[in-house]
Formats: sequence, structure tokens, C-alpha cells
Amino acid sequence: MNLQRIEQLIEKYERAETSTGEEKILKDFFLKEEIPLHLRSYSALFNFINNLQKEELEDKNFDDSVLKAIEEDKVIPISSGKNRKFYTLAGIAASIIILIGLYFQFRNDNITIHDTYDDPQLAYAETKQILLRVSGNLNSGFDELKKVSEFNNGLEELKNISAFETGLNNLEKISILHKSKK
Amino acid sequence: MTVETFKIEVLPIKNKLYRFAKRLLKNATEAEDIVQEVFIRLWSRRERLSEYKSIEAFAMIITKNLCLDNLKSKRNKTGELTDKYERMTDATPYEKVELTDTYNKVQEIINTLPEQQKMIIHLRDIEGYEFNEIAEIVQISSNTIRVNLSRARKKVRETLSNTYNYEFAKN
Repeated sequence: MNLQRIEQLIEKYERAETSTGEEKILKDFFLKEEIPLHLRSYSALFNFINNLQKEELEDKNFDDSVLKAIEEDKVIPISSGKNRKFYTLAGIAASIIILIGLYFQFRNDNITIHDTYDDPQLAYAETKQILLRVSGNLNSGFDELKKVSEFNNGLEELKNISAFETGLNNLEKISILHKSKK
Repeated sequence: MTVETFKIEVLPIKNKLYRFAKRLLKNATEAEDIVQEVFIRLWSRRERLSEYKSIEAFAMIITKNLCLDNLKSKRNKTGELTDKYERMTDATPYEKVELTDTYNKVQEIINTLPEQQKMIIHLRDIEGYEFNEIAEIVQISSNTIRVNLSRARKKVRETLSNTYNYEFAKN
């Protein structure tokens, strides 16, 4: 292969414009031919590529262990599985917490009322105190109601109207006069 | 899908998956574990596998995702420290000078590439995928792939040339 063609291909290769076929030509050239000094770095690169292409899994039992795992249909934990272990534990812990939560949730539904005081006397005193506080608040409400008594004063004034009634009674005597006329 | 067809049709892609995983994780044992996990996930979807255009591309996508998750969790755990530590153990300054093996040199350069470029150069130059296949696996456009592939190839070649010039100057 002429050197000029190779140099053209290399330029194309560095612009990432070569086809896979052209890259194969380059690789074959750099693996087989005597390489001029200015192109030595490419032979290093293509030798590396050639070596890596032949690299294979080191574990000879790899197929067997994969097949065994899939036949059992179970997951082999990968060795860097510390996180996985943590997630498993966290999952278990979370489920326990949820179960405890559910237990209390349902237990509370049919709960019977228990005395919260051991000493009935103390409970009585405490209740009394609370009731007094409530009634105190009620009384302060009553104060506001005192204004309603003003209304009564107004009614007092209206009693004068009864004087009018006595006047009317006197007029009744006139109707007696009227009867006697008949 | 039966175990037998799985063995014949799916399992043979194991080395492609392994090389891809190893490129990303830089660790053979972890790469093997990931590949095993990929096959188990494929098996668990065996009823729906025929819906995919290419089981291989789908397997590569799972591999990529598992590897990137693995890298992310490693980074989250120890932060920048591991990266620095890994770089130091990859090659001590003494070894760096002594590295005459071009294989290691190229590997070292590719390891320093951003993850996306690393995936693209691997899928193209080592596995020989077409751009549309790479686009499906890496989930980016063919154009972006071209740009990144070009960048990665130039970076590798430039670093190699510099190393060679350095060696020639030394001799």
C-alpha cells in the first residue's frame, strides 16, 4: 500500500471520517508493514487496538456460572454489593415500622376508655377545677348580657301608658250616660 | 427464550461486554461481575428480548449504565481521593519513565480521556461499531460522536507522538 494513500487515510481517520473498512486497511498496514519513523505513534495505537480486540473474559467457568444462575432463575449478588445489602436491610426495617404502625392503627379502633388517674379524689378535684374555669368564662359572658336590663328601663317608661288607660276608664262613665239617655 | 437459545444467541457477546466494562472500570474482576449481572438482567427480560432491534446493542446499553452507576457510586463514596489514588497506582513516576511497552502507554492515555470519549473510541476502534450503533448505545447524536471520536483520536496520537519524540530525544 502506498504511503501517500495511508497518510490521506490517517488524516481522514483523525477527522473521524473513515469507514470501518478504511480503518481495517489502516490497521492491517500498521500491523504488518515496516513503519516509517513519523508514523510510529500510529503503530503503537493500532497494536494496542489489535491486542484489546483479542482480550477475553478471564474466568473460564463464566458460562457455567451464568447458566447455573439463570437456570435457578435467581440473582447472583455482584461483589460490589454493599449498597444492595444496605437497601435490603433498609427495606426490612421499613416494613417492620409499617407493620408496627398498622398494628397501632387498628388497635386504636376498638380501644376502651381507661382511667387516666390513679387517685379518684385527685381526678374529682381536677374536674371541678376545669368546670369552674368553664363557668367563670360563662359569667364573663353574662356581664355582657347586663346591657339587656336597659331594655327594662324602657319598659318602665311605658308604664305611663297605663295612665292613659285610667283616662279611658273615666270615659267609660260617659257611655253609661249615653245608655241612660236611651 | 430457552436456556439453550440464550446460550447460543446471547452468551457469545460476553467478551464484547467484558472489554467495554473493563475499559470503563479499569478492573477485570469488577468488569466480570458487571457482565454477569448484565446476563442475568437479560434473562429476566427474556420474554421481551425479541422486541429489541439488537440484543447486543441492548446488552451494551445495560453494561454502560451499570458501569457508570458503579463509577458514580465509587466517586460518591470516596470523592476525588480514589481518582488520585488510582492514577498513582496505575503508574508510579518511576514506572512512567520505564514504560516502554506501547500497550500500557496507549492504555494510560485512553484512561485519561473523558468517559464519553473513552466509550466512543472503544466502541469504534476496538469493537468496530458503526456510528448509528454507537449513537444507540451512548445515547447521543452521530454528529456528536464524530466530533468526540475525532478529539479522542487526536488526543491519543498527539500524546503518543510527544512520548516518542521524548524518547528519540533521549536516545
